[in-house]
Amino acid sequence: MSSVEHDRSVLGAYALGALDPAEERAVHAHVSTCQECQRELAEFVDLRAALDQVPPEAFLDGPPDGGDLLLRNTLRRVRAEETPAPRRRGGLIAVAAAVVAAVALGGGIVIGRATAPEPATALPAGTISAEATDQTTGASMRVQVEPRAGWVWVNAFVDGVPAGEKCELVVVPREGDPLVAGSWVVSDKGAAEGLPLEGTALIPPGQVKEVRVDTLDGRTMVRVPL
Amino acid sequence: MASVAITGRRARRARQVPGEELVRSLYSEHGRSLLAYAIRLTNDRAAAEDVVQETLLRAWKHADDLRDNVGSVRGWLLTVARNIITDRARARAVRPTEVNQEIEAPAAQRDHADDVVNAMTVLGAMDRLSPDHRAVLVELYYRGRTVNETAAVLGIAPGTVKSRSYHAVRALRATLGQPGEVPR
Repeated sequence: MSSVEHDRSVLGAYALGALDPAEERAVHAHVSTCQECQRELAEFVDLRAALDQVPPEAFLDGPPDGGDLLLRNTLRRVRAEETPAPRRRGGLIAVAAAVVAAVALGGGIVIGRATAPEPATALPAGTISAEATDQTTGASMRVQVEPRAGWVWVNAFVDGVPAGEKCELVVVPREGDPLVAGSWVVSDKGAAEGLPLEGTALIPPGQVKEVRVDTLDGRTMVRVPL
Repeated sequence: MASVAITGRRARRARQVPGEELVRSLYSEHGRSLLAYAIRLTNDRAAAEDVVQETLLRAWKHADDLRDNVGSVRGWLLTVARNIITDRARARAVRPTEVNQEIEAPAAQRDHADDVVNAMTVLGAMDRLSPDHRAVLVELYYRGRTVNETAAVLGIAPGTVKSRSYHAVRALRATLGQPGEVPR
């Protein structure tokens, strides 16, 4: 009888509390009379304290349910930290918080321009920054409109436009016809991570009323008033 | 007239932030685990998502630690997530009584450090078990299944569940415990 009961292989499951009640009682009865099992069990029970350091969620695998918005937001923060903070000019500091976000975005653009001929780290005086999210389409855009001699340079970061959409970056003057500053088709990457764009428009600085992303079939994805 | 300067170069550059692949792979491997854990601790989905972001951001910043870490990557991430949650809760709780902060902070920080070692070490030790042994341990202990339920889930005999759990526990004890105490 004792050879059947002295079955150390049940001690693991016993220590983990995984035996059914009848078997647990039987093991308990045996252990209470068996010093060898008691010694081994004492060590196993100690182990439970270590196991309890690990939460049960540790054994879930894969990405979270519900799409990759969380990943996109995380990558955005990674990129925001990666890019060096642009030197801010006095004229911009006084502007509201929304503009600060746009300046942070400017970092991503600044990096790209480091290889371009013009000095990169400062936004030109008179640069206007703004952003908007369209509640219906879910698309968002941050733009910086930089003044040039009689025309404007437009930096934009467009996010939330579904892959496959054929889009135009439209710059609207206060008077006159809208101009297309560029066009593209949204890739999977662009849909997932957002897309930095730049374009130009022959509209005098200060005369830009809004910047839009329109689809080629005429839907406005997002509109940023300036 | 409109001039076009939409650049593929610029778009590629934006995708090539160093370490971005690390964040992606951590997310796809550990995201579910991290988020579920953070949701349980915060009881707030939005707060939990922010914790996950912050955790992955720290992983990205401390990629060297993560790479050199002999324990478990997941253990590291879960521990960091919990520390973020703890710190935020403490920041909220402590603010009105700043006098106490000085006294309590060192002890709390020491606890953190101990827990970091433990959670990472335990998970690291579990990762060194054979997959069969590890699976039995996870079902029995972390999923709270009985021997018979585990047998059904894993498609093995209840006797096999018992013997594997015994060997798993012994192996884990040998890895984690002090050498002198290990039964041989």
